[in-house]
Amino acid sequence: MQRLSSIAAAVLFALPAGAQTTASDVDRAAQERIEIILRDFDRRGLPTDLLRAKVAEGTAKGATQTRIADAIALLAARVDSVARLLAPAVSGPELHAGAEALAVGVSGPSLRTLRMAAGRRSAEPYFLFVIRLVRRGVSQDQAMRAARQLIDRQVAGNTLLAIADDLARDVASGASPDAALNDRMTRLIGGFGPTAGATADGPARGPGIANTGAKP
Amino acid sequence: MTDAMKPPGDRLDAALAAMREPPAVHRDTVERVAARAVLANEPRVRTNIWTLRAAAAMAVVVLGAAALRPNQSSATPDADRAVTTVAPAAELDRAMTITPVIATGARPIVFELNAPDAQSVQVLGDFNQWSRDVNSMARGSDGRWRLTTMLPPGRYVYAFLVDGRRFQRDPVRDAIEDRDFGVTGSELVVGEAP
Repeated sequence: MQRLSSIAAAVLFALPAGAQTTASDVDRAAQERIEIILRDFDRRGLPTDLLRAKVAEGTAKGATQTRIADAIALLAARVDSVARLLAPAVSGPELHAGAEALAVGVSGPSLRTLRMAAGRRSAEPYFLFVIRLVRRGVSQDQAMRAARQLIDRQVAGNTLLAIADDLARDVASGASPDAALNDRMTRLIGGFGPTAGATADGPARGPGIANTGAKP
Repeated sequence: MTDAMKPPGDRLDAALAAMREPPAVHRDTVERVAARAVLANEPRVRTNIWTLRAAAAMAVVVLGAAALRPNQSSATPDADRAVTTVAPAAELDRAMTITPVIATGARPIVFELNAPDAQSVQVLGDFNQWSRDVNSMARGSDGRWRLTTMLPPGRYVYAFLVDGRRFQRDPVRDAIEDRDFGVTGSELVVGEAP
């Protein structure tokens, strides 16, 4: 009986210890996954600040190492996709915004279209513009058409922010997202003009209205 | 016409024009300097700024030298964005070149939360690497917690940490669903300085 009690006690003490070891192993494996991804980005010259910020975010929020590693893997895959899509030259902010755009459902070809249309300017403001519109319920095609029009007119980044803010208010007050965007574009540059109906990746040459640079 | 085909005088003009551009500073650097500028005392801020200027001056010299070499593609006149030169897909396993960047125009951003019963509130976000130690808010007599910090243009996700244990999104900015860790935050997009 005494021997049985000893075995039972040993099992009771051993179980938590075993479970802890397993959890530790899992954490270690997850940390190694993170390190491998970071080293790979370093080796390829891709910026790691976004990934490191995600690690810090997960840590601050009390996430497990496994969950953090999963988040890093997903984010790294998106950043990698954006880097390939926008090769041969892409800025860090464009990578970050592009990864977020993919996360909200903007297509890769759409990102490439915006990058090319932006020319020597940073495409980041346009990525952020499309992200915010899509998140508000605007269809991707509509958001892309608006972005192309605004790129062609060299509309300033702050004006893009103002349009997105105005649209958010319109939608919050009950307007249809696509209709609200059309209304805002009409006020700013007279609507979608002759490019209305163009696809997201199609040509979008407007009438050449000068940049208003002002909030309507 | 490629750079190599241009007359030497034109290349020199282009190089001089590139050297007249403001110094290249990576966005991370600006964020760190801005965060320190808010936290540190005045003399320390001046020291940091002069250190930054010295580093920037060195960067200008390096960029200028690169611009004078016609076969170097890294000296781009497009100085308003950080450029990571990405190899073609088939060559992505090879290291890429990151050209220094100009990131200017940090703006004062005000965070505010009405939490009269809270004992402490911090702002954690992409801009401070989600650190609890960088951006503590101050409680006003009206029970509202406030913080002003300098942020360069860009998109940030952040949340308030109340009493060191409870995350709360900013009620006045767009909510961002946290697909990774399940804690809803807020989105802040900082525009260019007017």
